[in-house]
Amino acid sequence: MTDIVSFQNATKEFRGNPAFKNVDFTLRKGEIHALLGENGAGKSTLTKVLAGLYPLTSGTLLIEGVPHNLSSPAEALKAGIAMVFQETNLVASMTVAQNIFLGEERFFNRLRGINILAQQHLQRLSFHVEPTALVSTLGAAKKQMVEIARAVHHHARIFIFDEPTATLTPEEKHHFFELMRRLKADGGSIIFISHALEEALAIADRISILRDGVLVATDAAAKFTRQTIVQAMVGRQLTGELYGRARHRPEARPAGELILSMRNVSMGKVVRNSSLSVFAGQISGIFGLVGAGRTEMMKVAAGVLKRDFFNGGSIRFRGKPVRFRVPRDGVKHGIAYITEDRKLDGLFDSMGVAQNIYLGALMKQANPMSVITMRDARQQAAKWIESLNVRAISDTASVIELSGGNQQKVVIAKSLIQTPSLIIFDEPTRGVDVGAIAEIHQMIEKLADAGAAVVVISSYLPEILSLSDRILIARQGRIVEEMTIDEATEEKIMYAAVH
Amino acid sequence: MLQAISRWLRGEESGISVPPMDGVLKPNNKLESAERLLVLPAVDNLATDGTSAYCSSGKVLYRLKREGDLFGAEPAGEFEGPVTCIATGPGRIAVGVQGKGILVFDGRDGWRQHDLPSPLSSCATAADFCPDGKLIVCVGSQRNAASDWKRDLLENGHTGSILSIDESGRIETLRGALAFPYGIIAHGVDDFVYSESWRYRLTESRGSGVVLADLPAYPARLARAADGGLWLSLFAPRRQLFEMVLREHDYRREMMSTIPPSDWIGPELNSEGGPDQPLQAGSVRQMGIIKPWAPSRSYGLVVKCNPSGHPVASWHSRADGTMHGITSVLEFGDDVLVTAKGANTLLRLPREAEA
Repeated sequence: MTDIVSFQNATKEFRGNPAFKNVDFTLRKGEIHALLGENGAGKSTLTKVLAGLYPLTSGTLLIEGVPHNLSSPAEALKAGIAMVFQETNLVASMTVAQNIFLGEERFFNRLRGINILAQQHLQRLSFHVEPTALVSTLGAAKKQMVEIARAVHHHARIFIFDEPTATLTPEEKHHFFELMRRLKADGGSIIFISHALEEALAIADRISILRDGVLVATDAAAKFTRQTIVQAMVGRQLTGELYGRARHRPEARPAGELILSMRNVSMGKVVRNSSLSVFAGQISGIFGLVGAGRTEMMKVAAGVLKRDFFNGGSIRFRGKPVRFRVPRDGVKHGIAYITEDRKLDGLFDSMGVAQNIYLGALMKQANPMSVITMRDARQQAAKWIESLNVRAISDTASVIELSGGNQQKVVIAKSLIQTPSLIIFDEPTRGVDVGAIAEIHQMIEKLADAGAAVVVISSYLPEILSLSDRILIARQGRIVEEMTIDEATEEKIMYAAVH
Repeated sequence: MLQAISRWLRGEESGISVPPMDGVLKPNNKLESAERLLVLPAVDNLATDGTSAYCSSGKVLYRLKREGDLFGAEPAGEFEGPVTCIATGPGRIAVGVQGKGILVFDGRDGWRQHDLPSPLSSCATAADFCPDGKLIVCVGSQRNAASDWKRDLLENGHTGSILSIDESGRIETLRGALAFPYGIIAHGVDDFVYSESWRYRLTESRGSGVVLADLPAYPARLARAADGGLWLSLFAPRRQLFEMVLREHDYRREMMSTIPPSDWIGPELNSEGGPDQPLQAGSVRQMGIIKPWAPSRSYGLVVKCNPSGHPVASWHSRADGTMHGITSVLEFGDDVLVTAKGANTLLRLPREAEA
């Protein structure tokens, strides 16, 4: 197989800090190449250079043997390179069809024609997405599909998928892998970034591992095991299986005081007559496929979304009926909701780490007239930066410069500074590297041990199984099953989630 | 709509909701798999004096005889009306008889009647002896007899009370305006725990007050557990349909005035699942099988609480089961006995119940 992409001695620096250095990386024609590494290892930056988002600081990028210096994504697309981002780049106010054909509009544009072409295109890819649906109404999985469909439509030959499966259901993942194989069979070359190591082992032909900006290993996928990959990624031997059931805690924690009782809660068509209880001193895991309404249920509890005014059920927090109109009401009661989409809802990109964390404290502050000083903000934030081990150049560094794992820690710190009694983690380790996953898990366990009521929403079954003391399964807008940790298996949970 | 607005103005919840059965109260089929010891018509209250166990069944009081692992029942007394409660103390047995009040047997003078004032005499729902010999009695309602509990619920009854009766027969009211008190554990005249069915809660007379609130089913009698905790029997489930009926006053009044009581929409002790009760199976009867999660009118539930009142275990009989209408539970030696009044059955819980 010939090399279609080749980085030679490539280095990319931001303000003198190397994101990756002296990397020699090749992508062969017709292969699926998995690029693995902890968050902050440099894999996203490497692929962004290939997608024309950043220029190289030094070194050479060869595409089909020809040196290229791609200065924009449009130029990269002309060279046949398409990148599907972890956070999708679609125009939310446009339809699916309009997004697929974005940039190709004719002077007299016929929507009907676009819709038909988009329908055919989506059908060919076996994506069940309505071409006339607004992108803003789609879930994360379907947005991902539209993004992929757009890339395929632009006749790209080199595809870069950055964490494509994080939000997909198992069935959708199956379809997605099938699509990757088809792209490969048609001569496409794929760079596949994922934190799910099993996926990389299953689908990739070759695997490359980056650590701290250095390419530490490249070899055929068959020569790797999960253990060797993790070892290469983190540079250390993990003491146990990351997702093994509570090495130190073979039994579930007993239920404490009833903290949250949601009774027959309804919110439009997403949450339908759903009931659940959350107890202190326990981790209640909620599993469900995309669209099951689990996130929305918890958002209603936290005041992020409002339940139906009439016949919307009732919510009791510590035995008292509550109806939060804004999230701040929930925060004042002691409820923290840690969003699944940290970039959209969790952080102010341009603000510093300390400022972001301190914003959480301000939300709970009783006196709106109190004077805010940066000194106070930095003092309060410093405690959390230390206890959550947030790795940043300084506490004034913009959060956008941090890796996904550290951004997630900032979002968590922003909520924990409010000293909540109910903490809802929505996909706490989505887009987070292996090392940070372990730290976040440890912190969640500590919160439950300290007597807080913890809810963990996750699409990743091993995570749910390893963390939860009880598992609730959501389907079609309601909780349909509850399992103790002793009786739960991946098969049983999945069966309840789909049947 | 007007009612909804008026509720909103009064600060009440607009939606009709019932608490979920999850966590410790997660449904199971343990009552269905419990050992069925005896079949007695309308078997109801259980009590023990330490050496013998007693249960009531209609007008008859039975003494339970244990031979090895088997149980038998022999009559210990028959009364003029249905026995509504039993209490045992050192050398004494007290029974509540509908329409007659309280009768006490102390081994000397046979059954001695304590006349309760007429509105109180028909609804003695539970009783317990204090260590000082006083008898504490729950009177569910002043308006309705114990057997007419459903009417009391649908009338939003709150005329119940708790009385103490000393050995001379002097009666003292300890609590009033209660919504059908149906179970009690008395440690003294000023130290007792009682259940209020129509307020779905357990309350202690001193300390923090409410022990367990907002239960998902109507609580019935309580019993002491050997570990210092308590056993709670719950005789019927709360459902959104019932809550709606209880809230819609005009609808309920018309239903009660125009339809026979047997057809009133409300909780039941057992489910006959007749075709004239289309919502009995909650429209989830499929291929002739009632799905266990159907919102049935009857249910079986026993809850074990730890000494601080937190539920730690539960035993259920769901919509597809038959061991419904649990009105009493009793720890007797190594056994935990349960009466499923709706199924006319005395049950013994599996051994794990004692853990």
